[in-house]
Amino acid sequence: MRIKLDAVEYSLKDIKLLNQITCSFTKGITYVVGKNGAGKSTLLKLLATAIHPQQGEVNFTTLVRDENIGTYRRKLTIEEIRKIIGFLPQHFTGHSDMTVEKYVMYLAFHKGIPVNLVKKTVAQWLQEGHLTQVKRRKLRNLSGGQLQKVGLIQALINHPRICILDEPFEGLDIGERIYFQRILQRLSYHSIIIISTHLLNGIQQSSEDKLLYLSEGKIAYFGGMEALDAVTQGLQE
Amino acid sequence: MDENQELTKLEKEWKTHFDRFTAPEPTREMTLDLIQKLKKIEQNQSPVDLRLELETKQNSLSTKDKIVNIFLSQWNFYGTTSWLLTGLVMIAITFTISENTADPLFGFTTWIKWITLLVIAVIGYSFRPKNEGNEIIETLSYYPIIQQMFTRFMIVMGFQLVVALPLCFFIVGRESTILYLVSSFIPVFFFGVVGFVATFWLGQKIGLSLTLIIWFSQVLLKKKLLFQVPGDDYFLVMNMIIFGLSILLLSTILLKNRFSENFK
Repeated sequence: MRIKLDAVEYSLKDIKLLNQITCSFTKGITYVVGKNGAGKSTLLKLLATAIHPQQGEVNFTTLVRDENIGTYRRKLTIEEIRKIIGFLPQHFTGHSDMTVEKYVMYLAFHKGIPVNLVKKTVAQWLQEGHLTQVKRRKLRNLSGGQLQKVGLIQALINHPRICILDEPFEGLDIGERIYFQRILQRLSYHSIIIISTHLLNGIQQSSEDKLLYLSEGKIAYFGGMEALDAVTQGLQE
Repeated sequence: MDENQELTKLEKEWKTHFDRFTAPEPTREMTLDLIQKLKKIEQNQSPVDLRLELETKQNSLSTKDKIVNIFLSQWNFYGTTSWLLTGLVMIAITFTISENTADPLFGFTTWIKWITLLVIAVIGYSFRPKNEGNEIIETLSYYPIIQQMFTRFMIVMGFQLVVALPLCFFIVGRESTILYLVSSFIPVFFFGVVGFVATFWLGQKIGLSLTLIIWFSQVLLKKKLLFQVPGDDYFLVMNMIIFGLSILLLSTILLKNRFSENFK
């Protein structure tokens, strides 16, 4: 699986939010960092197919091995892409009048988890996310951290091939953050994971991970984690 | 000898061969065999691909299971409590009118007006606007958005028709005929379709306002077009026209889907 952006541009009310973005994402974790208004959330929405580029192209392809033709890249249709994406928006609210259990169950059905597995899957996620005790509480009555965990669960429940998370660790305590980071590490063996974060200290460095630094809608750095310190310094200035 | 030792041995053999060209070259079979073993080790070490497992299960689902799945996802959005409340309101309207109206024909006309108003309200609630985040999450579904919306519409209409049709007999009592079923079905279906299609094309606020304007125009105007009762001059013709119009409106959904796909 690969996502390739080619000279992508996106503007809103004459303000260029993304400017000539060219890069590609493959399996593994990519951290997207940048100051407020750098275009992180716009980039994530674009990758989630929620918005479309005004200039340039975003292509989702997968490697297909055919005995007769050989190996080739096949472009995915929008329906195929949307089936395999997990997404956490920046300010996740869910449906505030639903209970935790109902909401996660609702999303499990949405993600096409077979009916006979839904109850078991939901119970397991709620238990591991320490949400079983609040499963009958409405989303509007949850604390910030609890709501964020519900948001993360809905994004991860179908083990997405493409997982796009906007500020996923916001409001989580250290233990919860480690728990979800471990899940993401495991998922990254087979999936593309793109995380927008401003919690640079919380980034668990791994040689496999990548870093994308956005500045005023442009890519200022895209590469390995070895530049994390320099990027952190740049962000603080 | 385990695989690691085998690999070290083969690596040593190749190294010696490169250092001293006269040293024997390991056989191709040995090398290929080892590559396969290495691939296997890599597969065993990486975690299980849970997505692949899920997709295998999804692919084995029958059409019936898929329909049940999408039905449950849309049913849950409205919520069982809301469905129960809707049913109770319909029953309350029916009994209030049947107890307070002596003339069944007048009672029926009043009843169908209130029931259609309730249909519009339920459509409005079922297709209520969501914030951007929720909208993206629900678009990224196993089911295309058009299938989701249509299923929700079917549930809303199906439930209300199933409750409304038997209730109409409480209003008309002894006058009950199959034609009264038609007079109940057509306006309920029409306002459901108009509400759904207008919301789909124009968004919840404008769509709902437009549907309410049509409803009010029918309630306030003296000339009856939509709320026909058996015995009216053009009862069957009008109902057939309204039904045909509803089907045409409903089919525009497919048009929008095609239009937006081409646009993309």
